[in-house]
Amino acid sequence: MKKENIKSVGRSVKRIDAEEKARGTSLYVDDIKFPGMLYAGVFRSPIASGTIIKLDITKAKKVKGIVTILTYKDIPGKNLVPVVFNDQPLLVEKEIRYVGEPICLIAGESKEIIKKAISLIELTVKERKPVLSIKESLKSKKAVNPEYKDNILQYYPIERGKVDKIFKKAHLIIENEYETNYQEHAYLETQGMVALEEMNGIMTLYGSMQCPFYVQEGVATVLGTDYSKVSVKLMTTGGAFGGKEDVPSIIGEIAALLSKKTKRPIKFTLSREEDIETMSKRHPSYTKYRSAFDKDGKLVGVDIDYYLDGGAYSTLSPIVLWRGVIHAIGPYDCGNVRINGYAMATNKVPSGAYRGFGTPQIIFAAETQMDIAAEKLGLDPVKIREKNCFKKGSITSTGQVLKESIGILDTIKKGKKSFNYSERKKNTEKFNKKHKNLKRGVGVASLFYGVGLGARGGPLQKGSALVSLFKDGSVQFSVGTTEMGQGMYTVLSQITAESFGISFEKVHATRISTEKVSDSGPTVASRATFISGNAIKVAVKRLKKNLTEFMFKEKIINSMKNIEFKNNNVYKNGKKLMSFTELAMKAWLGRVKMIEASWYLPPETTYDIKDGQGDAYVTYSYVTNFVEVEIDLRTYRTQVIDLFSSEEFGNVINPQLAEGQIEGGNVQGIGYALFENTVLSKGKILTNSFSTYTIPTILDVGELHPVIVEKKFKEGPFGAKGMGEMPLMGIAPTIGNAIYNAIGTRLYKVPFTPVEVYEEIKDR
Amino acid sequence: MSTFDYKRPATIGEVVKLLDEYKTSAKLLLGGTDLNLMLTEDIIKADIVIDIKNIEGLDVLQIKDSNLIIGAGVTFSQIVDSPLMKEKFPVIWESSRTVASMGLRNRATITGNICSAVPSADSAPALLNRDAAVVAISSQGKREIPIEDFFTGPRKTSLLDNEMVMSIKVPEIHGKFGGSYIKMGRYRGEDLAQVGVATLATEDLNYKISYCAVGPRPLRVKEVEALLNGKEFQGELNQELKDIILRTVSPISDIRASKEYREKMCLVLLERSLKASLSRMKNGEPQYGKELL
Repeated sequence: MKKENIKSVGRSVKRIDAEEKARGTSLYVDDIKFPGMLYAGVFRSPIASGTIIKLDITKAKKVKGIVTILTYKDIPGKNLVPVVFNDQPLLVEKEIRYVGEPICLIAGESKEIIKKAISLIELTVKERKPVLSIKESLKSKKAVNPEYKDNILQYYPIERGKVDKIFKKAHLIIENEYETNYQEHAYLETQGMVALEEMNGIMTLYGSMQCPFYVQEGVATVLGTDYSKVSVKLMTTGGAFGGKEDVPSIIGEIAALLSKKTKRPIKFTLSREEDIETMSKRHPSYTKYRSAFDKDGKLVGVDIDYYLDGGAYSTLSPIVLWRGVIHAIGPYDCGNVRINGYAMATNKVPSGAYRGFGTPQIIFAAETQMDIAAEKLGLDPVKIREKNCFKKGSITSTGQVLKESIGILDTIKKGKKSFNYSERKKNTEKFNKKHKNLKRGVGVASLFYGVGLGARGGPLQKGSALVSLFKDGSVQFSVGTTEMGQGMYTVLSQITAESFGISFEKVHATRISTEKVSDSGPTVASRATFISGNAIKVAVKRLKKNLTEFMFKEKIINSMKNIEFKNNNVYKNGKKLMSFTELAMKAWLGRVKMIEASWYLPPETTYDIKDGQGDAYVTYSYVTNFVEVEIDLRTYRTQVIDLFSSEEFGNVINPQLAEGQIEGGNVQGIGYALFENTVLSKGKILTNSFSTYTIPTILDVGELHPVIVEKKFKEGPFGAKGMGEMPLMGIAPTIGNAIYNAIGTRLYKVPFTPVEVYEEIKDR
Repeated sequence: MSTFDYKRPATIGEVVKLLDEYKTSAKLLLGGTDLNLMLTEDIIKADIVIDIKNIEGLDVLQIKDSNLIIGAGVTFSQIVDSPLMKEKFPVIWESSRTVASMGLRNRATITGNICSAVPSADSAPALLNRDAAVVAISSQGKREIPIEDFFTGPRKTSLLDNEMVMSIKVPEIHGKFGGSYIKMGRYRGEDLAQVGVATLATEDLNYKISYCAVGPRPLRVKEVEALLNGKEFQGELNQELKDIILRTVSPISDIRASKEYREKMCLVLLERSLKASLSRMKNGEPQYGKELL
């Protein structure tokens, strides 16, 4: 009989939730209904900045079907949304700091009733002139947040080498300013949470989120109760992209407070409009970028001022800024670096986490600079990146020496070949000679990405898993990171199966919950495969040890050496002992410990806050994008023709899922570059629906061609690093560079909407 | 959403009776793609919703006495799937394909589209160019409203409070003709038109030109038609024509686009549309439905 080779890792196994998603049977928060359940609503500030003079809820309270209305005075614990600096109250006490800031919480029998009550709440305010942009925030004498002395929510410097000296003698200096707008997550499922006290008085939340442990902390904080009296359970989560990192704490706190007060289950889900207006989004940015090159095209110095618009509270801005600063110069070895990064407070909804986390903004600037340099130096844009990119032994801007799994040059080479760069370039030139109003161009941009939370992640850099073996030889696991659509359940099932040497179909992922594993930090920073995959490997290793020791004790084997678990069997010295199922049954009968909770800590990272030096991240992943675009010089519209995203993220666990992530991220990147344009008036977001805020459809993205480069990372589970965010991060400069190649106009502001492009080139 | 009564009469007689009784506080329901949303979001209020889906014959789509009759129940998908529409009314067919997404086109009706009377109504320019008429009925009887008189402002029509639209009537053209509708959204996916233009060119070089989304209501630009008539359009508008167009249209700056950009696009799209219409009249190319933007 031919021997079967059971392999799970490296195969495009079908997503375990594919069928339920396709059939529409997955259960989301909004599908839950408990007997006696009430709905929640929020009365929010209509103004961006001011002081509450009077708040009158008496009329609203009398509306039939309204069960309770809460203000900050009714919060039994602390009025706080805990994130990093703990400066954000859940409910306004006196000072209003952004449009949409929550003032009262309402529970009622229906959403309609709540809407009516909201319209009857009377608010008298004394308005202040709001601070509405980074530039206003820098100029403003008064701090947006009276608790702070100025509007700088966070500052991070990097200082390395002799920047001033190098700029004095540099062959070429390029200096520009860049701006980017917000980006909305546009997850299909808006924010939502259901809260109720289940048995033994445990406040239980069912929700859509990236970090149940954050929600647990938030709920315990506002209720003033024990963490152990709060349980948070993950529902099918319909997309997150960073938008469900910290803000689900707000949703959970609201639902839990109202449930505690009314003693009834509470459902709180947001409409699309309320979600866009009041939830986090990508920070707008403003960057002053100076680059110095020597005559051979080597990047010898950078001097950057990087500003993020953090909104009214610091929330995740400190960490978002940190990642942006670390990635500010791109995947290049440059000895002289000065970066000053600032997160600024404004009277707007707090910005937060979004796929890329403070890097797409600065990569746009960095990679546009690189393109400008190539042209001025007479170098091909690909050549200048090949010349400057990291190689083994290269040093990052934080002084980290890169030792292994450095795939940037490979992504350039493989991408260039797949894209057919040279020929395509010639073809576009031919095309442009033939067409007066249609112009085509090719663009390239590279980037790197620190996998995991990195040194600023502090105590959150950890992961736990619970793996349970059953007597029929099947396996169940749970971890502390969440499934939000990215395919984590599937990838971790593959890792579990591969670790046991059993069929993928024998492994089952269970609901993520604070009840099963310990705080493993958030599901962000492209870390789930790495952190949870490694935690699972630790647990499986222990279980296999338990089984091996049992076999030795039972004299099935005479030594514990050379035992192998593979092909659904157990082997000693290459000889089959029995099937895995048989062993599981024997072990169960023999009262072997068949459950293991594990703990994984990634290798140490370091960071000096004074000069920004240290081993910032455990490892880095790499991307080089190539794009061909066509721009219509009469309508100013840009169409992507082909996008090749060449990516290296260690070894690949599931190629098809990885390609899906690449394509999905590419689409969001194209949206960021070309279509997504948030418009505000007096701090209020006007583009609060998909009829006004346009995200790309399949017709708008051209052909997407994921290119995968594999480069094993030893510490990763089966050699994997992380890759969730990178596909989005560098699309804007790739397209911007292609537009320049097509029409010779440089764009310094994202997004490149037709109206913006028109404004840039109308006078040509 | 506020509460309302719901009735589903089986005859037109019952409908007009209810309309007489309730006037503006009655809303007629067919596809519901606009109405349901506006009711659930409390944008409009109704005392009664009269569902006319049970009324027989509203889905008629046929030629009668040299006129196309599009019944009030005809959906955009029905139009898109109709060989008759593609062959004889290709611009109505072409514009129907640009309305929203397939899911919405399966429910939304062309009659609903013109009755909603939003400035960006995709079906309006093609109907204007074909001198369509709106057939309305009330307890006082039937009347035909020329489509040009139908739109009176944003979300406003000349329909009386107690009238219901039975059908849209479109005269046939017997000679050779070519036409086109170009819609510019902010992207290629389903978007509202920022500028929409339809043109029609007949064998004797008579032109029809209509816009949507560039003023308070869809409009025809007869002044430009008159100056073009009898001449072969050469691919570019001269300054005189440009001036007239910019005098006639009145696009606004809003969160979707600036006034200046929209004005510019009024000219660019018209040139492209006229070129395509003329070429289609002559040799059928580019095929209807092909991207012209």
